[in-house]
Amino acid sequence: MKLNELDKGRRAMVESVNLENDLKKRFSAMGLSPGIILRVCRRTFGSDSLHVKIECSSCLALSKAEASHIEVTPIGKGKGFGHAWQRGQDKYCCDRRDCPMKESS
Amino acid sequence: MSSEIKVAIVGQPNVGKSSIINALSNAKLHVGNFSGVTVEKKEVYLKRDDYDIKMTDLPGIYALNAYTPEEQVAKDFLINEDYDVVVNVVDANTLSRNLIFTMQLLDMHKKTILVINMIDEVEKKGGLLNKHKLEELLGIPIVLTSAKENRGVEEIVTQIIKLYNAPLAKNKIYYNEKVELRVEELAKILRKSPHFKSPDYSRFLAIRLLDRDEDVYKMIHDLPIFIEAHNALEKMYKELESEFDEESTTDILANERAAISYNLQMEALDMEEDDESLSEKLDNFLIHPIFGLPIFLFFMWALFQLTFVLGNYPMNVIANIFGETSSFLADFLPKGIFNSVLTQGILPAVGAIIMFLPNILVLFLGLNLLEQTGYMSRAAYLMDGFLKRFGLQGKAFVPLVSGFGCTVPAYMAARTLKNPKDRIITMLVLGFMSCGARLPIYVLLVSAFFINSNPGNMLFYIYIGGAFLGLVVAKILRTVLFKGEPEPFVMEMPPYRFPSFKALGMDLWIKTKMFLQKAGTFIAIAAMVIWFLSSYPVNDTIVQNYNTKIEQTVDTSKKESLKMS
Repeated sequence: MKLNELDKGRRAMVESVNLENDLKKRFSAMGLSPGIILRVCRRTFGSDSLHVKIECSSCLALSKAEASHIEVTPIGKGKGFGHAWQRGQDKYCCDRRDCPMKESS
Repeated sequence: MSSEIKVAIVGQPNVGKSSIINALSNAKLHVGNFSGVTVEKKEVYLKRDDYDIKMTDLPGIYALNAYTPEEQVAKDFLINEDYDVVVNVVDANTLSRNLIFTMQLLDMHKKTILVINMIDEVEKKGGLLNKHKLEELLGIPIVLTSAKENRGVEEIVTQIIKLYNAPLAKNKIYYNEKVELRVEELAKILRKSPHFKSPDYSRFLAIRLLDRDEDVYKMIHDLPIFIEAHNALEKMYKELESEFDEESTTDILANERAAISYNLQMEALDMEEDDESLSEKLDNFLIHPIFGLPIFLFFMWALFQLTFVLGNYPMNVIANIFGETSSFLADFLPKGIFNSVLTQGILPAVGAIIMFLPNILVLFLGLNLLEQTGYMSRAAYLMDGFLKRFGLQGKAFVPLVSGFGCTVPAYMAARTLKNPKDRIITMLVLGFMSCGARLPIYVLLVSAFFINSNPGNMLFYIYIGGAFLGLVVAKILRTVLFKGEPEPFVMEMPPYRFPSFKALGMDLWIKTKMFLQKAGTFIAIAAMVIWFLSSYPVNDTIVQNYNTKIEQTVDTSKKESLKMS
């Protein structure tokens, strides 16, 4: 699923950021990289831009065009601290009891 | 004899670097430009014990992969300039994201202090940061600060002196062993060049090369080791990408750093995610999909109303002071050239400019407030879709609105746009955003022609009309001259923060000083030239002619003041 298709209030994990290298580096530096969990807070009128909250980090504003290049997997609704990294053989997962990644793994 | 310590202050945007600098006691602030570019360079001079500390506040930078021209300046400084200590300021609220950049800095293996700012905000949320644990993991000293509460700021200076005198600590940040193996191999090749003999520097450059840093690649391009380094690098790219099943080594390093920083945060910071923070509650109202834009327009309207109404009172007082002083000096000083140039040239001209200073300051204060509270980036988010229709992107909104205050910083703010076409279009239409210097003319015209209708509204229409015309021109420029899509829009939305009155005061004081300096120098000189050109050569026939006209048209009470001498 693309980030721009994610419903307002729904949480999702970023699977991949399919943008050109410079922009990908930029997103990563701003905290938006594969493995992070985010939530769409709101959209502007006409849905041109999205307001996204990265859990335990900052809020980002990004346009629909860029969001359509970000693959996400929706995860459970509601409160929760979620953050997971799964790259190659290395796996990092938070040790919170309510981490949604724990439930799925 | 005192020794000089050169310090580079660096951090991501919105972490409160400037607030820390403002909070340092007895600091002398010098504002200039980095050489060769118009990027603002803030330097702070401090004297502590026997040390002269020179701190350079670098522009905010998210990562060493510089994205905007402003970030490039910070990157160039960090890589090429000479300094003794790096002070990395991070935001405690977004620690793991900030630590990603910290790790890039630690790759340089310089004496580094980590300043974790806004710790008060974390504590208010019930968070607890284990400073000693993080110090142990990172291997660098950490200072917890709250610039707002003036907490921990002086300790930064103490740590700078301590670190300056201490030997360089061992690097503690290492990547995955597969990556480290390639870093060492590449560093060995680089060390063959006399430029990169230092093990730390060669390791740093090797990491940068694996991170596909084009600047470092260009740096080695003309050196004899290039072919060997290039071939090794190509091989390493392929091997690592295959081993990690990633598209690029940049992704591998980004994932490594993200994983390490996340784990560092998990080890050192105990903080629960807010259900709904105050910022989110405010955002529900202020950037509402339907009401957000009208609210923004209301704020702008209110600002121009305040500019006119509030500025009017001191304006009249200043006008009276200059008028009275001119009349007094005209009577008091002996008649002659000096009397004439002072009372009819310099004082009226300088007074006519200074009397609008209160209006300009109200406008600046309003724009600064919008920026410091974090509302400006929200406005950019709201405007992105609208601006896209005119060939601009949301981030262009910040320089455009700053243009209402002063065009010079607005041009400088355009540096945050990466795409040169976007930058040029934004800069070309900035002239349509009426700057503060035009305000006196507008106030004069509005007072003269629209005093019976609402003058504040008229002022608002003038500004909005100019801005709209600017957008039309932007669309024409995008369609005709600078074809292509605007730069992708991604922007951080910092939490709403109560503005720092000290920082606001400091900024207004700098602007007032600059304005008064200009009024006292350029405007005074121009007034003297105009006075000279309008007074010489004296033509008795013309003087007589005008005096006769005055006699015929103006009422008796004003005759004397208008009569040509």
